Amino acid sequence: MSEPLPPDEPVLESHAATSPEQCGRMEKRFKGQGLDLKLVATPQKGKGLLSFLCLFKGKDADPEANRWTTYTEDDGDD
Amino acid sequence: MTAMIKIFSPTYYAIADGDTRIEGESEQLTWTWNHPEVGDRLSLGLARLWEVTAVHQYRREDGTALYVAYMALVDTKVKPRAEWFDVRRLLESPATCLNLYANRDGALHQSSRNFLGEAPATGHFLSQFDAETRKTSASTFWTTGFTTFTSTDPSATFDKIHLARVEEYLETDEDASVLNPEKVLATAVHP
Repeated sequence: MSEPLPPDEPVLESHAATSPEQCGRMEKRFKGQGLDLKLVATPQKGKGLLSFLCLFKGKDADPEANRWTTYTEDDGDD
Repeated sequence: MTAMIKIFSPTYYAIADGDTRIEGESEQLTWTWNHPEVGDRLSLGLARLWEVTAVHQYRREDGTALYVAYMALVDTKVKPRAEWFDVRRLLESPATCLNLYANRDGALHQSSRNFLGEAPATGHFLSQFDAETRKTSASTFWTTGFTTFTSTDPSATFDKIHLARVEEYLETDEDASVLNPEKVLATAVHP
């Protein structure tokens, strides 16, 4: 059996969230800030509260970006 | 790529309103003899009951069906369909697919909505995410194949669902023995 290859995930900007809906809200917020970031996938990687990842690509995507540490209700709705 | 993955049909994937889900409740892949109907009440991991508000069917080439069940917490107001996240995303990105990664026993390892329509990457390790350190790393599970289900329902919220099979990669015989007690026993008896 040949050895599996590394994860096929390009370097993207990622943030943890509690649901895909929150990823959509992040995208809306980033766009409102003038950032070129597009939500491309929302993998669920675990069973904890912050189990979803929001993966973004675009000209402003930065794998090291720390735009906030947590996402709260104050970040608003759609 | 198509891989014939044995599934026990009907099977359903349960999706609940993310704003009302709490820790301990998660989207679930369930293998059952009867797919849920609208109005059925189910658990998502805790004692709280959720009510099925919509069921969408997807079919594989051989006719095998996979269902997606949308749930709302019992006795709560159901969002209008036009406000559902998946409905809005499909309008924006018509190729949106749902990728499910399950092991040979049918246990769900991961899932992912992909808004570019990208299918699972066969032959690659899955990644895992640590929410505390915010670091992503390779897991020990890798994707060995997948099979595709296409929506047959005009109200479906994904263009396709890909059901991928994952296996744990055992690098050495020593690693394998950890998960195979019989092998350890055999080695001890016959040095």
